[in-house]
Amino acid sequence: MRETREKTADVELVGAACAGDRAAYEAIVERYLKEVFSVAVRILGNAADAEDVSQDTFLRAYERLDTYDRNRSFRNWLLKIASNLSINRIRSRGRERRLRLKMAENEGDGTCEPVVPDDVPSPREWAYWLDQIDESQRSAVVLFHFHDLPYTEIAEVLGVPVNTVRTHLYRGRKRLRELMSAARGLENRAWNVAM
Amino acid sequence: MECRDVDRLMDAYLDRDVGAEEAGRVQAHLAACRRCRREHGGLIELLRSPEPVEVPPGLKDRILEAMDARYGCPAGRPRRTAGRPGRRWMAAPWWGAVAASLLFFVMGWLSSQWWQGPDRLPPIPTPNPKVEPVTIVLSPWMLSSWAQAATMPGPAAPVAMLVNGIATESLLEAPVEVCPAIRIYDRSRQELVPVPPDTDAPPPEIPLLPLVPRYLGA
Repeated sequence: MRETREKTADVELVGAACAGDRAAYEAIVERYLKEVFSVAVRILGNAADAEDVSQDTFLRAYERLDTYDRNRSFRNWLLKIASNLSINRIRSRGRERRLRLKMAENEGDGTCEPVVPDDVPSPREWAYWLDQIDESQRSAVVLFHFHDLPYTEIAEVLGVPVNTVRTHLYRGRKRLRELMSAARGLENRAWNVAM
Repeated sequence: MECRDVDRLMDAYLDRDVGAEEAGRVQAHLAACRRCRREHGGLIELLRSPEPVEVPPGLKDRILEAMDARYGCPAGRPRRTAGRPGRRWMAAPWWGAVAASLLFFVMGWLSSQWWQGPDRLPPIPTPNPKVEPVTIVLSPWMLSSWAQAATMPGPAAPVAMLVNGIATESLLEAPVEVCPAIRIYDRSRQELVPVPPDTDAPPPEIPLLPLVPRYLGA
């Protein structure tokens, strides 16, 4: 019932915004900014990028308001834009990071070993751990575990089949488990040396 | 519940895909088993919902200012339409169709001017009987359906005319004393093709396809 009321309100606001009512779009921004920003910051891992993505999300949504299907969830449509922009930003950052690593490798003696932190971050430092997994897996983990979206809605947001969402979640969690085991191994070795 | 049961059920547990009773047994086992806490505890803690995120102050205002700057809509003034603001002139489809049609015709005219070749074959230079005639052999593959459909007598004749055109064009610059007669031999019929027709009349004009470049002699 509450969802139906919210959906009706969204449709009315979108209709008013399409007709040129700026106040209606301001109400949409007010309603969804926190959720859009939360998704962006948890996928991207830093607030500065998340601010840019949030701004781009609402600008792009405004430009494409006439393409929004009013039979579907406006919230998921907005989160889809935010997720795609976040993933694209990670991928562009990934290109720069790969290029920097390659340049460092060319300048150095050819070895390029991964950096192991001196102190292993705690599991609550989700930004660090999520940064270690693929962006598609990261998006699925954030939307499912941090935003409680069901599989079907995650599939709608990410634009992939439900089975693909399951695969992303399974592989993402498996990778996180392996990383945490490896980190615990380092912790144990450090502890043995100290003894 | 054994450790291997917890390992097997952990994905379903994280997916919230187990019943309340089974979830309770997994939690009880984790509380009692140090090995399973080490194996799964970190991930469970990581995936527990973190603290709510606070929106940076002023972000909403910055977003609305960016919208006003891009779409030129100061606060309080309603817009006429959303969708593609600032591009309303493109919304009328007939403008695009007219522009595309004009462009198409202009490009077509320009390309026809570019491809335009001679209206007719160059005149066949007077062969020098003292110079050995040149025989050009037409293989069967050259007698294409195009040649078959032509109105000239014999399937080889139009192709022969084209080949003759190529040959004569290449000889146009040659001095008269080395200008040979040109004979076309149709290999499929094993006979010479009369090129030009065996009369004193000038060779017939072959209407040229507009897209055939000049260098083909057509």
